[in-house]
Amino acid sequence: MLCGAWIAGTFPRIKWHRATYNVISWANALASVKNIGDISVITRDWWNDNVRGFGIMGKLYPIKTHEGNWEGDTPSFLPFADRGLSDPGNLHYRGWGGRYMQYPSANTPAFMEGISKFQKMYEPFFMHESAGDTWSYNGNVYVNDTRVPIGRFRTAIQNDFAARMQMEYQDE
Amino acid sequence: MDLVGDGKDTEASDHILSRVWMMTGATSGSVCGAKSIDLAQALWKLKHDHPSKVEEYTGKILVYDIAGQDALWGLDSRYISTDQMA
Repeated sequence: MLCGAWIAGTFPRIKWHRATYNVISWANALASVKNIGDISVITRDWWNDNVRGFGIMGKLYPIKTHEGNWEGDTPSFLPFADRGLSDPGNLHYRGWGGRYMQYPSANTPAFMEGISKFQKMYEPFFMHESAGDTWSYNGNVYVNDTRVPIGRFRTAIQNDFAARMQMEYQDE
Repeated sequence: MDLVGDGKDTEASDHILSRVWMMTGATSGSVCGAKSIDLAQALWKLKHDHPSKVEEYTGKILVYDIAGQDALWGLDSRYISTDQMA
């Protein structure tokens, strides 16, 4: 019962983006995943200093749940965040939500293998998969690496988040 | 797909369909969510009631899907929202 595969197969004109790597590359410094880019903005201290100390919402911000990988669904929402560098209809251009393939591929697996078997009956269907990118940071070069699309924007994303939390605090 | 069909409309599927009808010109509709059953029902109804409109309207819809999790969260309605519609 995978509606996504059924929809994509039945209505092929819909442009369907499936976030997979985006979820992993969102994982914070406490996770077992080795992410790249500026890791200092995804530590427990960073959240305590920039988010949890500010305002009513900040106090409520939970970081104990899903230790190491909270907010993993955020990248799929970020195409809506119009920060000037993203075109929601052309996500191969890159953006805060990550990067996707320009062209759809057949029978895109779900992130978790256990789910993929449920979509077999709806094949063939076509979706835009998460894409990698190439980047150099602090002397390291990452070639077609699936951690790059989120990693390269991490500081900007977190700065924006911190600014919004602190804006709320100023209003109190 | 026995999850969609007659009598399976939800508040969310009605809402999505109402937004689909509001899309004009080059505007795109977008759905972001960990589940897609309400979108599926809205599209089923579009196809069932107005088959001649399917090509035009589905061509304007963009979807951002979080890892294809709808087998796990398929009956949980918390994670769906719409935007980018006229």
